[in-house]
Amino acid sequence: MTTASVATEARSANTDFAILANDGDLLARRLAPLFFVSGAAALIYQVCWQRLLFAAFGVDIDSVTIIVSVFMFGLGLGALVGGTIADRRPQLALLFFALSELGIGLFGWFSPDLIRMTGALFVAAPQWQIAIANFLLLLLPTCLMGATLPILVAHVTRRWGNVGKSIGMLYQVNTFGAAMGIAVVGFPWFLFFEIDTAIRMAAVLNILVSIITLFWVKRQWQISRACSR
Amino acid sequence: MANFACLLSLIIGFLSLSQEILWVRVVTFISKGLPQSFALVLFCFLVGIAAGAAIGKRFCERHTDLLRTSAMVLAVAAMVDLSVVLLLPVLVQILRPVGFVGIMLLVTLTALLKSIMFPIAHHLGAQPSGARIGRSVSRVYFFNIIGSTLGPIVTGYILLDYLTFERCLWLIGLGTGALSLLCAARGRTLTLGLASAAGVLPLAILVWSMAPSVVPTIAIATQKEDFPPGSRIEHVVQNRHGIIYTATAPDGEPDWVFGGNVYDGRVAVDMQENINGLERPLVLLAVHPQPHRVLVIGLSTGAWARILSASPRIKELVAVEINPGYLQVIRGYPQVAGLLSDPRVEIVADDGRRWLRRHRDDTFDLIVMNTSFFWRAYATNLLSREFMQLVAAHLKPGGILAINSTYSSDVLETARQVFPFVERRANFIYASKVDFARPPAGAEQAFRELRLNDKPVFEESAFHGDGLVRSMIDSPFMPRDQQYAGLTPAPGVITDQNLLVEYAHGNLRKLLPRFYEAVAQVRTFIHR
Repeated sequence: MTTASVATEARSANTDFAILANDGDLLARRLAPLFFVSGAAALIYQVCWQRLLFAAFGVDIDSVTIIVSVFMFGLGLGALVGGTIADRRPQLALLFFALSELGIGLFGWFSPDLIRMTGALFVAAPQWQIAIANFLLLLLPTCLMGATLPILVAHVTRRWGNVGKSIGMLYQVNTFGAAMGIAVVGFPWFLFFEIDTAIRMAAVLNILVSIITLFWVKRQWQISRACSR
Repeated sequence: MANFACLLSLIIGFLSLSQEILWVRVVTFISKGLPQSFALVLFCFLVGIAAGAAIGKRFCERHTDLLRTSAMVLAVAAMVDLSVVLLLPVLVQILRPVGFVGIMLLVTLTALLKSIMFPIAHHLGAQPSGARIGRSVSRVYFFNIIGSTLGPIVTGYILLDYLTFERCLWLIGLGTGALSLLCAARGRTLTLGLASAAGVLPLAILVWSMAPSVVPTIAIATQKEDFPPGSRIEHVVQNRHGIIYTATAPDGEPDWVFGGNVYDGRVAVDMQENINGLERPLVLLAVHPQPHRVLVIGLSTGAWARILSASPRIKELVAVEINPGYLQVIRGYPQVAGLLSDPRVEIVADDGRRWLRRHRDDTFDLIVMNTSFFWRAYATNLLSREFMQLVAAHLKPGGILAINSTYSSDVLETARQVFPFVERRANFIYASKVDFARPPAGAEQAFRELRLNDKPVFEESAFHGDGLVRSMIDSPFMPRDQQYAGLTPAPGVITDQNLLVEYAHGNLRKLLPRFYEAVAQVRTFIHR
């Protein structure tokens, strides 16, 4: 982009950016669909990963408990990391969200083979080793999933000044997205397609969310740079 | 206030996930193991959570007295939670679609009421401005997730092993009520706390006295077409693995056994009456001369393992059963209880597929799987091509797999893809790497040797004319060109990936034939 075109762009979008930087409602409106899709992808992973893990480690209550607990605990750790990031680099919140989605998507793409590999390696191991193997396997994606909510809540709260309002809004869209994800993968999807295809579809959704957010972040940076000149 | 918000968040997370686990158990039981039941519960639960978050957000925007609001919301939530135990038996007896919709609305409502607290807890515990917004939000959120993590461990793994699901639902209601009181105390609203207790406690006492009758009521209501009039539920075994019950008919016939509200079999090994169709495992004795080592996957009532154990040729029988609760059932019936004291029999509580993967070097002459219906959740794990390949690797030379197709043509088709020799008798599929269709000379002796409780299993008449032993020796299997007769239409190969028997060829195909025909056409187009 030339300096002239950036300047033109800055003039035309300056107002938009200025509003976006301060207007929580506009920010929320833009974030909502992205976080909705992110929630849908998360539930698709959860359902499909559970199927693959049950096939690998058994479908008894021991495996179910290990897998669900490990998934939740990873989300919790991610939440702590996300909160710290949100405070240390508040101006990079959207970039972190985009990178988290990219990380989830990339892991998701390769996850079916990783899960099968882990299953083959650990199926004969004692339960505690299986729990650790599952924890390490799911640590990266679940941490990234868990980190996104506090990062975005902090970002929106800085504009709205109301934690309950921002977390209520973001949690609501993310959970509606999750419900949509389960509606798709739990009912029609397996009538036509296979498990790995569902996982890869979720990965594509995460990567799309990431790309859209990255475009958004890049645009903001270009505009703010142009404005500062 | 931050610490109180974290505690609130933790308890709400724990109660919500515990309740989700219990709902999955209840709905799976009512729907008789329908694969979609988990997704259905999760969908309703998530919609409830999202709607609750939206309501909670509004409370936070209005800046009302949030502790007072919390106490009121939680008191209502507790009363709804407790009412679930009372409403369930009523709803299952109402016309099926209406009652089922009512149950799913209850799932949504219970999730909704508790999740109103999610934004409120964060609002109470997090800073609205300053340099620590993120950390203060994530702290409250972290406690919520820790509570959710404890749900499957404490409720799903520990409590359900000691308490029935009705009692666990009761505890959830009581816990929600206690949290309401805690909020009222913290908000110094004594009147509200007393009102909450006055509403919750009488209901809790009422529910405690009603709870034991829920499983039998659901069982009778959902199985009424199959039970003869006057049948009653005799024994109910609940543990963390699931729910098993036995049903007794008024005419003195052998008891039925149900696992997860799905028919498992009858507690009967008498070959004169042969109520259980036990010629299906016994035919293996006609075609395999020396079945020294036998693996039975899915023990259930133990009738199949018991009748096989009547053969002195079997030197070792390993039975793998995912739910150890069946041992309690077996112990109560003398017809099959001998299995537990037979030194040749080893019973293992494990997932059948995992057991095979963990015992790579164990091989068997016979592997018998009288597992459940093909359309149940996770049936794929025991019927897929990958599983049959695993079984094939555990067969000794000349070994035979016997598997209950429950009349699914997909099971037959899958077996034919994995094994070169496949036979069928009734709903059973027999598969091997060698041709085993013709019984060897002297096969009759294998049946003469069968003894249970020191008595011969077959009377002499069974060896002559159209007797059962004669039939097993003279025509053990159906003609190969008729193998697909009477099975489900459009056979396909089941894989771990396509979950064919659970979805595209699942139980709903019977209810919605036209829709599933269209599905089949689309599948053909996609996978052409």
